[in-house]
Amino acid sequence: METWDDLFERARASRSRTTSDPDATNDTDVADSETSDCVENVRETLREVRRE
Amino acid sequence: MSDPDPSPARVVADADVLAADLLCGGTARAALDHLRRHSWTTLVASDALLDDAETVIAATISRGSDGGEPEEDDALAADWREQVEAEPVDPPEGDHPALASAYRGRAMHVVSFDESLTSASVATDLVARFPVSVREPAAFDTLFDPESLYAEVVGGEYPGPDRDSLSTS
Repeated sequence: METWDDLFERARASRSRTTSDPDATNDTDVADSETSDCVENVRETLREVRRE
Repeated sequence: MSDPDPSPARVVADADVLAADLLCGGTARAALDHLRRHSWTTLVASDALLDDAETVIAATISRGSDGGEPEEDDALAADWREQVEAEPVDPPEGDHPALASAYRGRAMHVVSFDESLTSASVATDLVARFPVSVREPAAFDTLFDPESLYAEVVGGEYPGPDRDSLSTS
């Protein structure tokens, strides 16, 4: 049976197909920026879903 | 069967937090890891709330991808739906899915990124209707105190996490 770790890894692989923040200057910046962008994308998508 | 009593160990995560837990990690995952690690906590969610999260997961991946492997992205959202362990509730349609789930499911905590739910004025209005607090994931993660919560809802000395947050299936 699939575990949460399996699902998180599949989600990470999906995210890896997106573009990284070109303004980030080191690995921590990249990770923080990508997480922040990801959350904002999720929030915007939910707003769209609930408007429909 | 009678409704359960309101409990601080019963938690609703809004659809944005459920989706961000899977897709983004960060504070959403930290917040929900507390529930995955402790079997005596309960994630509560209506079908409408889980529907929203599943839709957001599929749509967010699709929006962010370069167009490759859409079937795999859809499968990820469906597999998440199968994996998530939430106590079902059946609130009336039309209300906010997270708040309605909390009200009907006697959950005393709602975790959401939605500032319209986490503002002080909304909190005051909500508490006047039922005992609930709405917090952003970072705040929930910071304030989650398993030792005192265990003593309140289970009793006795907190034994530590009783589940592996990543391997729960």
